[in-house]
Amino acid sequence: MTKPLIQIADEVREMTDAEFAQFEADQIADVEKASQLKAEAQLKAEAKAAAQAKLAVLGLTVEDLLALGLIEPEPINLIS
Amino acid sequence: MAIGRIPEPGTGIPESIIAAKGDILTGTANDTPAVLSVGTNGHTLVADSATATGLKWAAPAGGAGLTKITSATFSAVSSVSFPDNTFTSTYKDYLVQFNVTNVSANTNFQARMRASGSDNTATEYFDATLVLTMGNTSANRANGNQNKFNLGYANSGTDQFSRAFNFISPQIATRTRIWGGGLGVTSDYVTNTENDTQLLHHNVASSFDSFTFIASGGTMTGYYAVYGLEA
Repeated sequence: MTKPLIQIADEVREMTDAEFAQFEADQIADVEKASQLKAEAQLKAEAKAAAQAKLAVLGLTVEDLLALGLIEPEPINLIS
Repeated sequence: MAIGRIPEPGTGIPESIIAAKGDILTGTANDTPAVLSVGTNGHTLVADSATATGLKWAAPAGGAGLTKITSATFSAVSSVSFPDNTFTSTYKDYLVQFNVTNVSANTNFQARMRASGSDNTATEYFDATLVLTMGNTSANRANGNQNKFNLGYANSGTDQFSRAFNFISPQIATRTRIWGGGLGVTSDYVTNTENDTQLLHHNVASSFDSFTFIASGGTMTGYYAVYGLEA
């Protein structure tokens, strides 16, 4: 099986077995982290929806809270 | 008829002492001539009392400033490492320019410190990033106790990823800190072009001589350059 290419200085070569093992471990860690972040985002979205429902019962909206300065606009991370 | 002194045989410097182009005549002590061979192209002769001749060839210092140490292009690789011994005691700090001009989708840009030909994989990496996009949205992210620095993520539209980093004395056995930033540009350059300010910290007092950029989950094409900063 062809292993991914790496470059050290000007030399391009396939990964060694040890480097490939680390590469695969990194891939697994990245997937796990992405999954964890997705789960956290899901929980956050659910909590937000629940909070908005409670606000609605009170006759308030997020815009009302922003106008009162009680919350900050939520940042959005688009790429990173 | 003028009469001059005839040199005593054996006391002159024989021409055979010069053996090659560029040899220069020096002295190692009183009445002790010696040859110093030519140095590397571009190097200049400087005094150095630690050498036998009191002289050595060295790269021109040029006063405080930037000196290019190494650079390379790379194409469709999963990682790229600087040569061993890129970071040495010659310079105090280092400036690194890293530009990716093509990257496969869903690639995580990561990095590791490197020493004696191996990446350091200790869970001692910390990173903090502030993000501001052209669309005037902002975000921040931070990671601790990782086994690599997390630099950013390339989605399917990313067509450029660049970083300029200041390495604070990575060659000294202290905790290594790197600060700088860069950009990530996508085809939707208004809302998805971001400016990143980044701080990286390796939490062990180790000496490193190189650095590795990693395209986890993909490959990258681009170039890098490393400069030594003279205090």
